[in-house]
Amino acid sequence: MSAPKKINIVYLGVFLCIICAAATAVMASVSRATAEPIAAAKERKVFNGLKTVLPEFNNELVKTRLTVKSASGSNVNFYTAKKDGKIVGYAAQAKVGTGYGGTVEGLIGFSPDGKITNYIISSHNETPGLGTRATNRTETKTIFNFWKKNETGKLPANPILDQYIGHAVSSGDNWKARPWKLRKDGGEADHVTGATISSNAVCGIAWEAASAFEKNKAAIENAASKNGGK
Amino acid sequence: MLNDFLKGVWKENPVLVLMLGMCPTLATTSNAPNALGMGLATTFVLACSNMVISLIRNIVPAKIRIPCYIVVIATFVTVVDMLMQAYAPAAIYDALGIFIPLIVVNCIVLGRAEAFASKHNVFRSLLDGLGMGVGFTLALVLLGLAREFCAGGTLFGIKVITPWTIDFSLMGMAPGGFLMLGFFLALMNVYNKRQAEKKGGKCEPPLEMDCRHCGICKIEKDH
Repeated sequence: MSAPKKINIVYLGVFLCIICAAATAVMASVSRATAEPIAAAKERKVFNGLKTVLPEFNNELVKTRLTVKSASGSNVNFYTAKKDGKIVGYAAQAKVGTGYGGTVEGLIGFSPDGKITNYIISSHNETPGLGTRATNRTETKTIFNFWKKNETGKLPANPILDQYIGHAVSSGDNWKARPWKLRKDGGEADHVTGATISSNAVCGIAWEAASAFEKNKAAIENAASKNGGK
Repeated sequence: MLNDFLKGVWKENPVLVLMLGMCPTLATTSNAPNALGMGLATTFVLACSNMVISLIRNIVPAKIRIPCYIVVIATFVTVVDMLMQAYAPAAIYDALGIFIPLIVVNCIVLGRAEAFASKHNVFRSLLDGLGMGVGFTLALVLLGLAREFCAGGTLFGIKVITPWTIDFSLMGMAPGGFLMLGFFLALMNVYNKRQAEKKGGKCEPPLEMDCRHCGICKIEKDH
């Protein structure tokens, strides 16, 4: 009785092995075929995000990338936008791990004199309807205007993100707390009631990017003039 | 034939009657667009995996059929994820991408593979998968609309009651999901009971929910 049972187990094992091998082969070939398009799609996504926080430019943005360490030790990517060889703005890609749902990543645009001109959160995992009030720029659409297109070219307003616009890490700025803090922690930034952690993450990203920009401004300009071309 | 499709939509609706796939149901119905995305992605995987499992149903030994089905489903989900990431427009992948890995653990897919596709031909299995997918999508979108409306007066992200400024955000979070699902199930049960009493019979769970029908724990017999 025991002999056929053993054969059966071997047969089942071999069968399962073949099924898994076939599945792996399918996945491996698809993975290989899609590796390049996936990388391209990711690049494009970052590029589209950068385009929304920067003014009009015509240089090769990706080539101007410079990665620097921020105050807390995480990586901040900087891009320099030029139009006809003249610097029109900088963009920073920074992230903090202290959001309510883990990592929050933001894109921040700077004017040539170092002031924040635009701020969006590019990826996050915050609570819908609560934390997202601090991170998302969504237009409130109603039944009266949802068919109308946004023709102003401006991003929808978000008071929590918009409050950072115009500020810079310089002695002349009216935000004196270092690092930037929420008002309830002794700083100057406002937060969404009930979403302190998300608001704090938003504030943290702005500080990471702005302080890293102030510290590495010369290096960023240098990288742009060396690699960015026209 | 048509019954294979229609039963998934109403009589054996996976969410409201069979009670399958509760985890993605509660997680993704906080608003209608998310619910629609999850529903469509699941429908696609369900139809494809039902077809493949129906194709291989006669060569897979009964003892290891469950692991084989899981491998097939996981392969499908991974392939769909990679293809969408590579070729779908960024806006669509951004909206659906987070739900795709969730489909692997959605028990509707495995449930239909075991209860239907492993016993019927390819065409009927495809219809069953599509029907169940449509039923799942429908239930999810209705739940999503109800929760979204209660939470902020919006439908598909569009505010319908303009003066509404208070956020009843409980409905958008996990507890609201349980509450709204409870209301939906209660309504469904009341309706089914009334219908059955009208016909003079008793309200009984559908055959698919019956213990005798399910063979998932019968692994001792081979073929």
